[in-house]
Amino acid sequence: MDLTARLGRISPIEAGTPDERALVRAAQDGSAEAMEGLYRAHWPRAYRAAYLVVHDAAGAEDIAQEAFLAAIRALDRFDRRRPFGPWLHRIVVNRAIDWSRARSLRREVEEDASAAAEPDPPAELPELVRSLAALQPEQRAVIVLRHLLGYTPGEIADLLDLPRGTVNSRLRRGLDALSKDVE
Amino acid sequence: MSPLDGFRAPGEAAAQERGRHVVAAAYARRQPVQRRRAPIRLLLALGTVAALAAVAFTPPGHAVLTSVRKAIGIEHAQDALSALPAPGRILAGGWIVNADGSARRLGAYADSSWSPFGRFVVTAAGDRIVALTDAGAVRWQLGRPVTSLPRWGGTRTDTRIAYFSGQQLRIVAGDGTGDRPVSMHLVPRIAPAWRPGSSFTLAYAETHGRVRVLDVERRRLVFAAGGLAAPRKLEWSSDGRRLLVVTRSGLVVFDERGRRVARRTGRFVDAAFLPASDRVVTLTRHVLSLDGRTLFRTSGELGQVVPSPNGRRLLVTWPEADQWLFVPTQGGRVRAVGNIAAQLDGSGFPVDGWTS
Repeated sequence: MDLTARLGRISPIEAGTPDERALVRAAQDGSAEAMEGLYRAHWPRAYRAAYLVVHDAAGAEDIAQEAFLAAIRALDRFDRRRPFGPWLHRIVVNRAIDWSRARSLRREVEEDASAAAEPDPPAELPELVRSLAALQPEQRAVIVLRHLLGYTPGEIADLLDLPRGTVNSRLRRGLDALSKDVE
Repeated sequence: MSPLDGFRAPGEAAAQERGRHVVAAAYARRQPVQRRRAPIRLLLALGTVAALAAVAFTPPGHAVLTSVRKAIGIEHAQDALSALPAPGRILAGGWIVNADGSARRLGAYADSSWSPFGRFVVTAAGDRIVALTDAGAVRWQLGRPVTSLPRWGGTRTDTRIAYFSGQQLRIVAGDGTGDRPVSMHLVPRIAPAWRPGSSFTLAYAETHGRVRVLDVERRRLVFAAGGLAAPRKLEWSSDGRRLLVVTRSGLVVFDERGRRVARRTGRFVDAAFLPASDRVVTLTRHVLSLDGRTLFRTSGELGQVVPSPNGRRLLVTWPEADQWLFVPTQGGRVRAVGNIAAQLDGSGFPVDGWTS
């Protein structure tokens, strides 16, 4: 299955462009407008990435918000020569994995399993997105990073602190499962 | 083109807008690191310190600083909500503040209340009554003119909402059905109060210092009381056996049959039952008391007292200082949190409820 063909042409993650570096510098110096600019530029991807891992809109919203709040707390320590997106995506995807694991744990201990069951994704979502929900959160995360955010396996390994081989195997198994489900 | 440009997650636009306010508020209270300190700024800072020191060591200046410290037994307010000192979630001005200090903005809702078990929120939004999940999703809304003071009561399986539409007191079921008037020609100044439990008994204030307690399902008057000097607040004890009425000149406690079982005179700005008890905590402009014991005193002007669900802390609002104070009921250190308005986008006063 060619995910790229299904989802459109993948563009590489933009490295820290001069505009983005200027926004980060201004935000570090106290410009609310610059922070707003960073938010508008990066929030949609953060929210979508979180959603595709957790498949829960309220959870994704909390994760995206928390990621930005964490970014604000760490803003002064941020190396402005580096791109902002990967820094944010690392926070988002790791929190989304944690969130999914926590939900699984809750489901095991709650008496009323139906109350905690993962909701079905809305019917209007693309079939591929719905199929992602059946994968393990760790597999969803690497597929989102690779095929929706456009990171290389090496970059994903750095973002998630994983061996590159683990990233490749999760990608391969996830894609195999998606192939069976979608095709 | 990125594939994400084509994919839109559910609820994206509304979530982005809610998040924008949260992030902007968090950024506004951030204190950036000073990368280069200009000599002139250093001199100004030293000058300020010297001036403050001079003020502190003059008799009037020293008195002011001392009174501020003595006011509440604390010297410094935290500049951000990190975590609530008691379990539960606080509803204030369209925001939910969670126990871990994180906050979620539901929307521009200034007049709201929790559902009985904290799963939902009802709010009066101009010409609508809106029921929301605690994640901010609208469950239903009902168009009525000039809505105000909605209050949600009932059990886990059956609930009612009382609210004002103009001068009418109305009720509607928790699912938005069965909207109907209860009483007409009232002044929508005091929130009605549902008696805890399954009986759908509602207390509300009429004009001329009268309070009525009505079983709204059986349409039966439980009791009525008059001669109250301008009621300001109605609240039931958590077991539903006592009704507290705060008036302009004091407070009165009624039992479930309408007999006055306690009375105190005083200029109270607020009062509340401690959860799971019939003990009443009172607040005047400057003093918070419980059982006649002063818990907290200040020269500032206090606004409201809200007990935590476990009854161990009292949230006292101090609007002019832009602070929430968390006062322990059994002794201990008062915790103050400042910059409330900045953190909650201009909201935070009054507090609409603290639920488990």
